[in-house]
Amino acid sequence: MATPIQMPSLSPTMKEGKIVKWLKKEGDKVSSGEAIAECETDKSNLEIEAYDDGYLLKIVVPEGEMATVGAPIAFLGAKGEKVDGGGGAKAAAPAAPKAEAPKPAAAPAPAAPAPAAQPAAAGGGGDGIPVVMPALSPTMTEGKLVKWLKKEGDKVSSGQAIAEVETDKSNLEVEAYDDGVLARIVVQEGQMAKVGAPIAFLAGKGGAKAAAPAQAPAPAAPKAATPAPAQAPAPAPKAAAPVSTPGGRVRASPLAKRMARDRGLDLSQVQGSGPLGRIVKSDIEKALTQAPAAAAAKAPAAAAAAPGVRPEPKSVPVTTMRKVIAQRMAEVKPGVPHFYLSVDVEMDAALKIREEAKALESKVSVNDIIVKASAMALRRYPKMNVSLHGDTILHFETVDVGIAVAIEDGLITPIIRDADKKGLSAISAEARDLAERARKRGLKPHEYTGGSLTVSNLGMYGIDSFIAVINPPQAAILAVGSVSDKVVVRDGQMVVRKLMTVTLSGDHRVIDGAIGAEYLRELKALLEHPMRLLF
Amino acid sequence: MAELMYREALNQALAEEMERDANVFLIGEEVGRYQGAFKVSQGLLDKFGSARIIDAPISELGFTGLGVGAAMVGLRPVVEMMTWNFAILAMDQIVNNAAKLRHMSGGQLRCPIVFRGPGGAGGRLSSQHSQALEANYAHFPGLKVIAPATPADAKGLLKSAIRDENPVIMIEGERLYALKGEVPEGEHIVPIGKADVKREGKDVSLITWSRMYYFCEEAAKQLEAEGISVEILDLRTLRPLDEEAILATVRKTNRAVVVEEGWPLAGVGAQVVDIIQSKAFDDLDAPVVRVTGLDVNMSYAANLENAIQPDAPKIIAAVKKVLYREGA
Repeated sequence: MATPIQMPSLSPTMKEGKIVKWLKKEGDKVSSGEAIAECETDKSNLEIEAYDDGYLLKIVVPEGEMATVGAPIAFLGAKGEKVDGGGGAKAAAPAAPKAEAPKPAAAPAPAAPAPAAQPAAAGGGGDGIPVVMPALSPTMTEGKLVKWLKKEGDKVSSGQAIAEVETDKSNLEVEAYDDGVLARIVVQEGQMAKVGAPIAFLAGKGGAKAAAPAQAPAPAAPKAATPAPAQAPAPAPKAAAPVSTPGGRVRASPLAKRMARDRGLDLSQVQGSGPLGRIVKSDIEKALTQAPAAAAAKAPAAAAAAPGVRPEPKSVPVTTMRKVIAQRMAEVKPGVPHFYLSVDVEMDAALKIREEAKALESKVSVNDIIVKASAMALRRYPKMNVSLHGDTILHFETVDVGIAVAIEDGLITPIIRDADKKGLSAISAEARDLAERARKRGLKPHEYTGGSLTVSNLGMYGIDSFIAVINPPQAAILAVGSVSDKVVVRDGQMVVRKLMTVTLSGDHRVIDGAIGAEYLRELKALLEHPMRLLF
Repeated sequence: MAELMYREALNQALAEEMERDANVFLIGEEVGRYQGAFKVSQGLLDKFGSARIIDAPISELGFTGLGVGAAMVGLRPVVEMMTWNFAILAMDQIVNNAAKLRHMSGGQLRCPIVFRGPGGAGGRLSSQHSQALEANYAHFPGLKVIAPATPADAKGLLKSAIRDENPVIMIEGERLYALKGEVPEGEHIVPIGKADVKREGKDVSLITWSRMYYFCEEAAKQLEAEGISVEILDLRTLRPLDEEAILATVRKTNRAVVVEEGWPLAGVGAQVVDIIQSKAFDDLDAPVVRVTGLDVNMSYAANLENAIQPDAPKIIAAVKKVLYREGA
């Protein structure tokens, strides 16, 4: 019997992966352990291996398309064996989206008439090559189409940028993965699309076929495409039931509700396959891979206030970045048990370094010195250089420090890699470059992912001290206040010193208070005796 | 590893523990000269003599009480019930004395005693001899309850039970005594309170114990042929329940079926379902389904006896129900 090859989980955070390249073609012989495809995860490109011997009967996820972890991407079996319909018995469930009837006409999105036709087209069934919304950052679940760089009818070649997309972190370009003609744009500028959903269709070399899906609003599935071959047993889900009951209540399993909540998915837009239309895990997984920008189009029309009436507050849709910040902060505060430690640091010596650097025409900020010191302290206290991922603790071999940069609509934390090994002027130059590009939303994903600790400095706003929220999956954050003259007692004498309060927020699941305290003591010593930064 | 019958594994555990500790003795009806009603004590009388393998008259309340008294003064009795159905006569000694001695004496008295014997139905013995009574004992604080499915677990758990400082109820599968399986020789201990994933799977968890495990295996094999991957968790210990293992399997598969031989009302399975719904609610993709014996007295007629008990087809139907594939 044909067995499915599933999208493997190749990183701790991976939920789905994109097939970059098939290394085997249908009909090829495959042996266990052999690499059959190259896959792009949220972190890197990796090879997928076969776990059995056999023949590659059918490829169900074409190059350039996404698949959720666990979903079949191909089928393996005996030579010449048939994989029917969406891939045979076992395939029916995950492959169903392709063969299944599109959403009933009731499905919303008046602004985008296209979605109804998408599932058929997305299957790569010959109506055009879908260009899907790529996952451009580890936390990205949807993106806003900022600008189309090509228009319908334009020729595009593989690797060419065709659109600009705003993710939760930055603006990035979407590239075409095939040659052809941009036949149809389905997500308009300003609209959102879920990761994995088609945003346009390319016509293949001929160019003619792609016109078809454009005006195919027909909700009825072509009869021929009906799944569930006669011997297909259990896995084929039942025909999609109505989304909600007449009362408007959405039925969903507790697990499906949790998944939808975690991924910011609107359950009313998901088709349930359980009894009475109950939405279950597989429906959520399906929705995440194929759902076109469902509720995105509902622009809140600001009603003009009648004279004499107090104006209602103006509602502005949140940007992608703000939405992700909101979600993650709501998750991290109750989810990650924080502990806080504060210490006053005498910065007189450190400030002198800055003055000396200035004399050498090297721009070093207080923050650069703090970054360097925090990195060196991390190197000395490796128990701080960790991150919790499920049931495992990652102990980092490198010291990568994030710097919190406030930008127009939120906050981003680019990473200074190997900050313990870099000199102050290198850190300074890198920090300035990263901050500048962050403000223009020009950072690449690898520039703001990873790291175990962030330095967040509000000293320039005159804030004396504050408590910062950890930026997951990092395990600690340093909140740095302003440097100001304070009276302190030294040897029984009142003296004036430049004091700065640093507050460490630690993830108490992986870092204990004593470790945090030792770390802060080391940081304080490094800053108060900056000569030590050289050793 | 030697392949032993379930009864031989129990016999080995008893012999090894009696050799190890002179305070261990066995008492029960026909355990000596007749070599045990189910031949669990075969050969032990010759080996250990009538002072330690004690034939008791038909007097469950009496010899159970003797065992409890002996445990109070420092011995480690193993009390064999010819079947758990007869132990109902000794309920007062088990529940009112053994289970409560430590509590009632403010911790001054211990009661290291094992009550063991066969339970469950099968073999046309009708309603007074065919009861799965584990829920009764699991109900009482002060008792531990174990119910192994395999010969290896039977040996390992009995050794743990004999060494335990508290009263342990060991319910053996009456229909399992002749079943063979690999059993590690010598010091093989299965800790009380630890469940065992007997089969790894990803679509649904079957949570069960004792003889029902074999029906679950049969069902899992058939379901696998249909592309449904089944995980089987054998609880082995019913009190204390291994909550961690129950939650882990449910969090893995998101769907669960609990299979038990006893009656549905207030069964051990009901407690398992409560643990799941209260602690893993957000991991559930479907309501948990229970497969239990029917809520009637056991019939004598073989066809009715079978109809009353869980079996593979009933388990398969339940799995399809939790997977929303009824009628598939």
